[in-house]
Amino acid sequence: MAGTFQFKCPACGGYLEFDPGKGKAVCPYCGTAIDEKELEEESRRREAEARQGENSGSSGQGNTGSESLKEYHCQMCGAEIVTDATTAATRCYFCHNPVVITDRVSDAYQPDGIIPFRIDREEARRQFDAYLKKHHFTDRRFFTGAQLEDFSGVYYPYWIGSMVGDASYSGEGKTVSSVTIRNEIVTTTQYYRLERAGRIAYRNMIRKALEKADRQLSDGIHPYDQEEMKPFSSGYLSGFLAEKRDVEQIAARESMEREANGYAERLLTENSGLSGLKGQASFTPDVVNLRYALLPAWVLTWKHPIRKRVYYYMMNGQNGKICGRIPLSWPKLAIVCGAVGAAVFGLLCAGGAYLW
Amino acid sequence: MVKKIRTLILCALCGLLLCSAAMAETRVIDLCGIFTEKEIAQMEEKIAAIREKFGMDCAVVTSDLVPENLRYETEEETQAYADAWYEDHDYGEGDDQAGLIYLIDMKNRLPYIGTAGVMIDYISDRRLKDLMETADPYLQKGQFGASALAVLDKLSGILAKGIEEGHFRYDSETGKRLTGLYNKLTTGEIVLSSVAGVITMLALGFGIWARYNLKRSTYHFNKETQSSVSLSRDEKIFLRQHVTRTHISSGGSRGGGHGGGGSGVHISSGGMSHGGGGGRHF
Repeated sequence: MAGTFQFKCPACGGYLEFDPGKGKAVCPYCGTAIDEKELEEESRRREAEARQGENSGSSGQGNTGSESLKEYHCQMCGAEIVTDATTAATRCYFCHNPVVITDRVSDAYQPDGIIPFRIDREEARRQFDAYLKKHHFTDRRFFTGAQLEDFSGVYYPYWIGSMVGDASYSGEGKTVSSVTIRNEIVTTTQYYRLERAGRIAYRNMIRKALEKADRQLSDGIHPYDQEEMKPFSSGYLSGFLAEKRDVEQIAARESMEREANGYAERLLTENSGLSGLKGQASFTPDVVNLRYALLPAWVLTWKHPIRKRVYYYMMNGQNGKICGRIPLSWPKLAIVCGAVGAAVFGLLCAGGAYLW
Repeated sequence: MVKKIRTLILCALCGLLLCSAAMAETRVIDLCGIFTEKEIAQMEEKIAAIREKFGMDCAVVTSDLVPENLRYETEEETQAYADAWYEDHDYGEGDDQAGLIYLIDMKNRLPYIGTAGVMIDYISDRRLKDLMETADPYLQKGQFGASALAVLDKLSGILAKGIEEGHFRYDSETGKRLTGLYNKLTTGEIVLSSVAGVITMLALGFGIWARYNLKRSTYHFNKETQSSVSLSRDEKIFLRQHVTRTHISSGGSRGGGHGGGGSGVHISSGGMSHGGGGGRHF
């Protein structure tokens, strides 16, 4: 079957899954572990085989009749796998083996880099539990252990950009100084025109490359340590879900340029010694480098049984940073806020009675 | 006959007792005869109202028997006379003998207000000055009764306002503060405290709600570490200059003397604490 591939254990033929804790692909049946270098080689071989199959016309890809759904076949059991248009790695619904969809991580869609998971499911669960405990106003009644099991490890696509360009600033500011001479305070305000120009370089600007991803959540789990970025290897996807991009480079670039332009004034007026600056800055990038990368995140979806609202949580798969809306315990919030308000009232009354 | 004489003596004794009782209740003693009867009646009425409403005593005395003060600008003899009169006539209400005496010293041509008990706290130096300024125009015109009536009217208003915020007692000789600042919780302070408490409660609640519901932007690009600037041009061109001069006021007295929120206190020869002071000569 082409269009998909799975990493098979060289010892027992079972499927391999990437273990974030060990940093290796591990067979859950016989415990065989393959290190990252071997995994990369195996990935390249598997991808080449899959592409060869597609070229010979025996692609397993079909059309479900819907623009947003695609059909593939599991190499392990032959079952049909229906995915949406951006899924790059998933599991077979029947044999539950991990499946990587070749055409979504190759050629134009091959990521330039990937940051592998460093936090495994158990650690993610532990950190999420600690996160809820840290938020004292969380309505914890509905967070049961079973719900916390539903974590999914997902590689999300991002554009990571760096840019260098000419920048200039022209504006007016002032300095204010005061001296006391006998019984007078003499305040001198001097106005200056500030003209600055130079080169600004930005690194590691980041934009989500998947339209459907929640922007607040995907922004909220940054930053990733990009020193840990590795050349892409599909072996890292095994055992996790992955998405391919549907936001193209041009859109990400425009957005990054707008953001960079917004920072130019602040960067160019730093250490000018002037206050109350009013002026205009411009930034024109001439070297722009965008990399397409997959970054790891643990995702939890939870539906509140009473409020019927769905809560989404994302956790940085590298450092455990969590972002998501937390259901509030209103009674707890009312008690604490009421107590603080009463304390402020009491303190002010005491101040009114004894101090001022 | 003996019976008649005994009856007459008894009647005379009863009459004397009644008269002395009436004298004891009289709070307007016009030794110089400068008040009209009508004025005396009005003063007694006002004093009775003050005693009933505020539980503090009040007396108006005129006298030309005060020894002369050492110097024209001093008031030690007038003060001693007023204090002695107040104590000797057992004026004052309550355990602290709270009350006020308004003495028109016809010998030194000086008005004087003496205070005792909690009245010392009500009549701060600032209020004492107000009372004297109220009386002064009448005194200058020789309208002594009108001056006393004006003082009593003003006193009622002062007592109704209560003790001033930040009031304290100080030794009028050394200037040393004798009590802490008087503070009381006003309705305005209670309202402001309530508003601040409610605002704090709502702000805290909203802040937590916003944080838990991701109402703030979660995006953060660290410009400090992820950007660098190399300047090829950096010019600061002087345009103009503006100079302002602010006069520093020399600053007034901060309590502790006349015109302040404190009350000067001295000890009378009888050992009782008194406040008060004199006004302008007439």
